Amino acid sequence: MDCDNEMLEKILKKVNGVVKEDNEIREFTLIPSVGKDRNVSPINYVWEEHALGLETWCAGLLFGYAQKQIFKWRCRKDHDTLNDYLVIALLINPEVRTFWNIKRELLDGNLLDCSTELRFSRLVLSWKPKSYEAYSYRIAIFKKIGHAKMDFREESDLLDSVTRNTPNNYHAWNHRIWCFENYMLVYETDALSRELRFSEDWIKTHVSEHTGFHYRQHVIDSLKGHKLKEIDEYSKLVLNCDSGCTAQHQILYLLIYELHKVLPDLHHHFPGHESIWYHRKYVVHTMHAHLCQIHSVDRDIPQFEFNGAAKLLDGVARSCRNGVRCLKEEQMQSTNLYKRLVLNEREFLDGDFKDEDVRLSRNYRMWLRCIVGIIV
Amino acid sequence: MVKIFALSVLHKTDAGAVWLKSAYDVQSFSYFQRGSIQEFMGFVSKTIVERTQAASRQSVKEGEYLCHVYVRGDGLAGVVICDQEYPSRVAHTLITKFLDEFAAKYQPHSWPNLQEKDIEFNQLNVYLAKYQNPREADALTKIQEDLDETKIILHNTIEAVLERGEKLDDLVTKSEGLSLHAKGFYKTARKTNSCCTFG
Repeated sequence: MDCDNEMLEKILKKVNGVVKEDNEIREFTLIPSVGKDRNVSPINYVWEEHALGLETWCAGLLFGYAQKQIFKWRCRKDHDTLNDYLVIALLINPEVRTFWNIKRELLDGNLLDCSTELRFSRLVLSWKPKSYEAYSYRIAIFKKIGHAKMDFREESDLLDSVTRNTPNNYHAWNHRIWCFENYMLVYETDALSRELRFSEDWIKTHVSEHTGFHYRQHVIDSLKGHKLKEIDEYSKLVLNCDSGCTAQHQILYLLIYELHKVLPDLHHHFPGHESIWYHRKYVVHTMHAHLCQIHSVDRDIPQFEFNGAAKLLDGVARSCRNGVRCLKEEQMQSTNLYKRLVLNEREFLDGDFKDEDVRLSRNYRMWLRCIVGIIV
Repeated sequence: MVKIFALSVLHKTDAGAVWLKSAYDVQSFSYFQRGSIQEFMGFVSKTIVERTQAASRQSVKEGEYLCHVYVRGDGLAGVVICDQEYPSRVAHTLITKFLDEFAAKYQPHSWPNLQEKDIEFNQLNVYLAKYQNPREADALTKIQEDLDETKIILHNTIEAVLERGEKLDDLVTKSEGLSLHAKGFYKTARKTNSCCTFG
């Protein structure tokens, strides 16, 4: 037993050494052991790749040992030793909330270095990308150092790699939303257009992931409170607007862009994915809701091409004078935009669908009739 | 994710299938897994080609991956391993395209004697990069139209493709082409599904 403990201590020291010294460490993995040869070190560390691997045969032993030591050392004053055990235990099994909480206690007592902790939680996420605790620990660190000091490039890089490698990683997307609201919208002028561009690229390459669509919808919705400030090329392309247009115009422009550019491309290239249909529902539903809130109506402008939309919207939509007041149903239905929306959906549903899309289009037609009240 | 992981050209004879050329993109996997995953993809390609009849097309689902196979009448076979989001039609279009080009470069009589290391067919790597975006295939209308006439059999697991009595686990254990590491990873992947287990 003593001999075992000695060995475990040795492994533990070495892993901790790597985590502390390699500033760019990116990856941790458990490697399935091939033989039962315990005379060879179970640590595989490739410096050029900044990757650290631990053979599985020692993982269970190491975790059990570290766990015992943590509770033994918890009340003592030697925080560095305690942290060493925590690092090992959490790397092997990041789902133990108690250990994260001990780490928070140390963090609150200013006993840990924040940048090392960010690196460590990133390492945990490279191995268990869906570890909720690791994300929430990162947020705790940002709260401690102040949101303004957050390095968003680093955060974005981390989120890119975890969301790319693990499908439907809601924890990671929630974290992105947190960064978006607490950091990007507050400290960056081009946040909205950059995230719109980012999410468009994302949904085009991850067509069946509701998470990505949900994030895009969240960004679009947040246009309500934050007008697109910096007009870059993307926002010009999407919004086609001048400085005079209101937040409400912007959302409508964006939804039209979604309906005319983004969705047709997705439907065409990736038939049979329900997530695309759900996104379509979001677009139509939101557009319908906005139309209800638009105040004055100009019926004389007949144009509604994607590019002509700017002209039309100037006429159709003017910001509300006394808060949000809904148009009467028939008034709303007489707007050109509404008519065009109905026509657009009718033409779309008259298209040629195959296989799974036949069922999905039937559901969509039903949804339009029962939920939005558009009969096509 | 819309992603292609592997493109391979194989030659199928009565004795089995032989790799002629392969291209892999496994950068998205963790460093220690890449080698094993690549080996395993090669193994799966060969296994499925051997169990696909000449002049037929199949698509086989396994977990979140899809493996598309086309074995031509003359024994030349192509495999695309991709993510489930990658459109099947485009994958099969791509197979037709690179097999045609391979056959134009190497005559059928030379196939039995070709060695993988002697073959110069860099086009496979070029296509692996280019067709990561399936929209690139929009230009290949001719092949796509021909494909519309063809029946593609879809299987929901690899087991469905195997002959009666065969099991993937046994094939993996018996395989001489897979290293111990790759077998270890395969076993772990089968066993672990949740985020809390280890070892």
